[in-house]
Amino acid sequence: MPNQPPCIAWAEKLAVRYEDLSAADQAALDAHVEGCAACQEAQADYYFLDARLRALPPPVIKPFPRLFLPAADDQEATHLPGRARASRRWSDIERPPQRSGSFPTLLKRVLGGILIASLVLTLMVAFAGRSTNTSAARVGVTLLTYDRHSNFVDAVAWSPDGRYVASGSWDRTVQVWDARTGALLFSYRHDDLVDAVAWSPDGRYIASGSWDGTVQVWDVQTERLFRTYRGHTSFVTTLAWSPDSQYIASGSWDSTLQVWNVQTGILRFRYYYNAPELPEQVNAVAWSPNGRYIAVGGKAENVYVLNAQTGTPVNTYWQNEGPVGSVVNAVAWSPDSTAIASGDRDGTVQVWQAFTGKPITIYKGHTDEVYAVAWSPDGRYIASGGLDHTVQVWQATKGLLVLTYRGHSNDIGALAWSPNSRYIASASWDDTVQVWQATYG
Amino acid sequence: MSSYQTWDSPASDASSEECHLVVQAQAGNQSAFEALYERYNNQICRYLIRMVGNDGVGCELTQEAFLRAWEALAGLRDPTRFASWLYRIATNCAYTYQHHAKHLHLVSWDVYEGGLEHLSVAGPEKQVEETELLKLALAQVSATYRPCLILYVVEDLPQRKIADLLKIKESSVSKYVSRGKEELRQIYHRLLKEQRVPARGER
Repeated sequence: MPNQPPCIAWAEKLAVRYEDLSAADQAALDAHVEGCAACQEAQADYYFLDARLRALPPPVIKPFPRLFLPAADDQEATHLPGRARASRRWSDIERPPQRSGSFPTLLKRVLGGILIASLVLTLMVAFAGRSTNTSAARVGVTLLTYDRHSNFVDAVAWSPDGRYVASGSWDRTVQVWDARTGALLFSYRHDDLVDAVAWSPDGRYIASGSWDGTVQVWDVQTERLFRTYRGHTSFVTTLAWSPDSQYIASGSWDSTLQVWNVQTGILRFRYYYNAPELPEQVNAVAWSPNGRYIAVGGKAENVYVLNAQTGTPVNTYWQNEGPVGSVVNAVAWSPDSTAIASGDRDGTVQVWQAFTGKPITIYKGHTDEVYAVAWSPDGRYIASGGLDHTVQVWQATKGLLVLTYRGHSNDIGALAWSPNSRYIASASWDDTVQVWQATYG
Repeated sequence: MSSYQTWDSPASDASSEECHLVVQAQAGNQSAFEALYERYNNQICRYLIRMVGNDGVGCELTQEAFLRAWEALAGLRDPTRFASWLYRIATNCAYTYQHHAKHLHLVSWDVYEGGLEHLSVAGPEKQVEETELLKLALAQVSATYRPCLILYVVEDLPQRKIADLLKIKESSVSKYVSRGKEELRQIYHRLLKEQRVPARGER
């Protein structure tokens, strides 16, 4: 039987549990479904499938804890074709060396104590600073609201000449528009939502990464597709151009970072994020302005700094693992290529020295997950945004808030500074991109 | 759901007993890890079976997941995050398996044995037939949506907990569930249609 999908606007409400909706949403949904045949049919199907899924019988076989049995019993273990693995006792399996011994533990505790004391002191200073700065901190002024997207906007990039903005959305389109007037220059589509957009430093190309697994590179002059890169096996979530505009680093939920030549499409290297035995999805990548390094972060709690030529890690930075577990959502290099800012799921932005990992500052002004971080081209400020719906602009080295932007009504998905460091384009799950003044003082 | 209570307790609020077990296991204590295995074995197994749509493979992957967890346990920085961490390992195991299975053109034993045509019989087997179809359909839902769908519908977890386990935005959960449900619906009906064709002797 034909299965017409439910109305886009109601699909989410239809899919979640009725009790998860507010009373107002329940009433609105009921009213809509009553008059919409497609949603009625979808709702009936969802109820049926939900009930069937919940009623799935328990497994007919249970995992046999053979891992605990003596090695002699291993022969009885069953194996899957092509992926057999001998059963072993836990103790037979080589474990990586422990990271803590008695002395290191003691040292860790002492250092931890010092660190906590330092943090308390730093926080006191920061809060004192913020209390004075908050009163002085400005609220960003909206210059333009771009509202031609029909779904969440999760990617934004500014043209190197500062005249245009490219935005990518869950509506599957990339739209290129005038930063001052909002006039659409051109747009193109992917087969699934667009999660990353990057403008080449020479201004010639726009690259976009999508959940359709591809990276499309478009020639801005001709407004034509220049290349489609298909090297990933899952969603492409992040992109960065090399400063010479010759290469793109693309990160994906296939757990790889791939660096490839834009002109030829030839792969320079593929890097498995985190570790081959425990690969994790890539959320963020940034190419150092001097062209020599690439920072990559994702669903592990660490950021790797790679040699951009070889893909060899030159430094690993461990985010503090907070109560909700660390996920690196965003990374940004300082313009002088010496420091990195990484936005974390725990609501912090950590600024640290790229090659020593030494912390410079930790910004804690957000009340929820940080999803976007951008370093101003003049190096003075960092803008960060996330699930608390605000964009906060703060001093890069001191972490002092200088400006808060509250123009969005939903999560902030991406941020980009204008090349002159005066404006910010913020993309949001409220389906808009807003351009606003970011200068202070 | 039977597993609700266990999953509902946030990993960050893991009992001190569990944290103690994790710390002991990190120090190489095999018994402590066995206790953790006992604690999580069933729910990880159930999750993996739903992920891959096959009891045998799911059980095998459960072993694989615990093996990987044991090998990598020293790298877990926060013992209170053990459940979430283990869950991600299990998810990765499922993804890896399905990636390899796709390339090797492995056929699920359930499918091979029965075949879809086999399911189209009238009578009391109808329930079994539907169940098998649903398991097959669920295993074909996009890898990104499937964990959300299983945790939300089958395990009945709250959205915040799912976001925590899968390390995604809480606001993404309903989106993924919505897309997952619609995919499941389309796949299920397609399979149903494919199954019916030979039964009617139309090919």
